[in-house]
Amino acid sequence: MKKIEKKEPNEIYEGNVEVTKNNEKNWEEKLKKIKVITGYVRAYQGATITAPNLTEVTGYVRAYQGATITAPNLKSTVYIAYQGATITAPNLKSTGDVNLDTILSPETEIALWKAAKKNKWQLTNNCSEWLLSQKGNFTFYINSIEFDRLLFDKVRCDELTAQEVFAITNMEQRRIAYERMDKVKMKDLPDYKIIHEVADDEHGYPMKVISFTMAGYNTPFKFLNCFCPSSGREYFLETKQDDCWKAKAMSFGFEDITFDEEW
Amino acid sequence: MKNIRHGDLSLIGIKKLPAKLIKSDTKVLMVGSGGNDHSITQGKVYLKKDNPSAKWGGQILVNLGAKGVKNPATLVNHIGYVVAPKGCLLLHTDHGEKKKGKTFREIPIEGIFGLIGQVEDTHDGMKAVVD
Repeated sequence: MKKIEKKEPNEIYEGNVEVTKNNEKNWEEKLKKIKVITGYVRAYQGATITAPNLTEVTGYVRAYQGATITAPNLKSTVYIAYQGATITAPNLKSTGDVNLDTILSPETEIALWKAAKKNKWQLTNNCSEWLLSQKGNFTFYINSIEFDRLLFDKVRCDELTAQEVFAITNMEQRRIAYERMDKVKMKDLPDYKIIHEVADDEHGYPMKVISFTMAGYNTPFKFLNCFCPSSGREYFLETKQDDCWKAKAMSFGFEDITFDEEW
Repeated sequence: MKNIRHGDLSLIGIKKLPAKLIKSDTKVLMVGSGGNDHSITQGKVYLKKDNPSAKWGGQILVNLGAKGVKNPATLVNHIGYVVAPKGCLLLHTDHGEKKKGKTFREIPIEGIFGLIGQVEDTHDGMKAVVD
């Protein structure tokens, strides 16, 4: 537990601050004189927090999508910000680990970088090029899927060929890489063809088995192109089958399988 | 008895468990990426890693009464069993019914199931789906 400098009782807020669009006016009044918050601060979607005198948050500061936090004198906290959130805290001096999925103002980013250079950072493709170009203890994410720096940069900048996308061994990384790939590149796959197609997989999604060749391999590569019935995410699974239904069944180890429920 | 597909995990309904399985001390059926595990709220889990001497595979599930499955492949990613009592929920962040205010999507399940993880049939052989 960090030691808190001596403050007047009315300058300390004991507990957590959770601000929504509905209660932001109440919090604006409450936080006017507050210098220290002993818990965490959460600004939910679209909410605004203005804390002109706030210097320290002992917990984390978390800003959700579209939220705005303005704390010009904030010096110390742990830092989490999601896509589209805005946090202005150019005087930040110390912070814990940082989790960013957004671009902050240049002043705040520089202050944050100086304050937390040696800490752990979780960054996404929604962060600024300046921040992404720094060298630190980073882990990189695109749509919640972790990548190493090299693949992260290639995927977010669409620098992979279609062959390289299909060569990614991690299925979720392959999914993200395909999502972000210019689909015109599919035409570059040698001998690319759709060998079987189903209009409705019984959950409203199409299925396909595609094939293409690669230099150095005698047999073509085949992938089942299918969709998750719950999330609607599109996947490519390598297969040896020519038929969508067989490819799906074989991915669970049977020549034929009937599911009573699929999620 | 039901066969349920839960993303990259399938639960194949069976009539009984094999004899002498050792219960695993977990409610996680299969570990997913980024902590997105397939787990249950209550019931018993028997994982292959805790039962190395038991027999595993698609044919074993057929012998235990599995329906709606044909011609099991030689290599099947059979990872365990679950016994789900009435009231058991199967949980995951992405798969199942989304209930307001709940972090995990959920599906009620009941019965005895064999657990099979999805595989890719690659140029280098069958490989469990990596996510």
